[in-house]
Amino acid sequence: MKIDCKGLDCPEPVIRTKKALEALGANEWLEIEINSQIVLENVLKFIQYSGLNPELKELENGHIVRVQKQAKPIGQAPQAQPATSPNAILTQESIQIPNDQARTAKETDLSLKVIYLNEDRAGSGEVGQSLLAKLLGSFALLSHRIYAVVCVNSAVQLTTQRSHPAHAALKELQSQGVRVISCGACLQAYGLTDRLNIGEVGNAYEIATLLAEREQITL
Amino acid sequence: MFDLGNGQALIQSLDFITPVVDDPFLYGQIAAANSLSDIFAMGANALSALNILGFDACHFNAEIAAQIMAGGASKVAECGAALVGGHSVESAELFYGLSVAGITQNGRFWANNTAKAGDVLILSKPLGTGIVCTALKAGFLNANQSLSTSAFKSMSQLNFYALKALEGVKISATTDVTGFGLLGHLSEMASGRKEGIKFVIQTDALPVLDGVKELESMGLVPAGAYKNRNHLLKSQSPRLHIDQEKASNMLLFDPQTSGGLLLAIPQEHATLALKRLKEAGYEHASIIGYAQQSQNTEIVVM
Repeated sequence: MKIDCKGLDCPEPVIRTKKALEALGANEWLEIEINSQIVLENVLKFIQYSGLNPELKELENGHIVRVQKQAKPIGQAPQAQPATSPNAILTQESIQIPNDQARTAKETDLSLKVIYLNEDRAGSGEVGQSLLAKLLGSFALLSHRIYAVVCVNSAVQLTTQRSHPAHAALKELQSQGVRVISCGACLQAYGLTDRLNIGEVGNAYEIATLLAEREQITL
Repeated sequence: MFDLGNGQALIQSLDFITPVVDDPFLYGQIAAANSLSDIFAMGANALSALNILGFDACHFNAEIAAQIMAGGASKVAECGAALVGGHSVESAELFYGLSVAGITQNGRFWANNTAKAGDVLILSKPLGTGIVCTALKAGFLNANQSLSTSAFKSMSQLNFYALKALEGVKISATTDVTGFGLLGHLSEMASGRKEGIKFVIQTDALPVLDGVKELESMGLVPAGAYKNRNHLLKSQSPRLHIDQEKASNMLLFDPQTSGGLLLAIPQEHATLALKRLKEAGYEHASIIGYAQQSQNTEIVVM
């Protein structure tokens, strides 16, 4: 099989090489035409990573890379891969181009939502505080961000007490750009106004506006 | 940079980037963090920012533009600056960024070419975001994988927190690692100096995103990384001393989006600086090398 990667920009030649190698029968040869030094290096890296031995033929204005697909399965990297490697990418059936408009639209809707915390715990059970920490921590792991966390009543403990189990998770959300708003009157009532170390103080009007405009998640 | 004559200086910068991720809000955050970083890399605080947006209204709806700017606004607010306006144009290619005004405080100003012999080099964020973005574009990685999310987190993390973390720490020089890659920006630190200097980089000590080395060895390397390398290999001053095996490690040259700070810090302050940076959320911060006296201007990669 022959593929022409002349004039293509990275990472397209690597994608085409991968597809071609997948389509190739055992012991068949693939020839790749390349006219850029950069593309050549990336394609060679890919072939070597796949455990195959490329042959190089120099032309007047470029290179031809020849490689034989050996019987052993592609995806066996020459060296052992760490357990944390981004999965056995090469063994996937096909390339998934992450271009799913519908999914993107749905996920970004998260940025229209706020988490409304009315207590420093999730529910009334014994595990309430650590459950809240776990839930907030999980929001931090989602690939899309919620817009804000609003803390009223005893939830202002989260934004003021480093020792609160959910403090770190909330801080993490804030570091990711999520707004964290504590009710000013509540801070005052709990005597915590000068202890705020996550996010901003909001008055009732600001909080009401936010709640009116955005969908709420309660934990 | 403009001297206000009262011990303070006004710093203005402008930077914008094309999308590196699919999610518009996240893209806005990353672009803003990238733009704001110029100010923080000089040890200054951001005062105000203006949006700059090139938008293709034929192919994207206005909601996308709103999301991008909401992402940007969240980062401007996070560092206490004010977003005071901006300008958008029709453009075939989407781009977004900020023009930022910053001000130096208490006479603190970090230059990039004032490292001294005996300094230790610290890098505050892991390398590899250029490679991750290339792998995402190629479909070899999807946005939900942990490597992607840690890259997104790193790119959207502001360098702002380093300012407070490094209060009271003696800093000789700083820059932020962006498009020219680690060694490209290190070479800027070596340039424009009266005396020579030798920077020694220990490849084993470099913080990299977990799993990115595998993508690098698959050839999912942006063309910019090779351009950065070829430029440095040709450079006379600084001269790059690197063996062939190390030169094929493209993480050293990978263009970073919203990369970390590269700091030269006197040895006796380095441990404290590293500890403070980690506490401030730069958990990958590492000592990656040191500076030595030299007649020449050179970079040695070990």
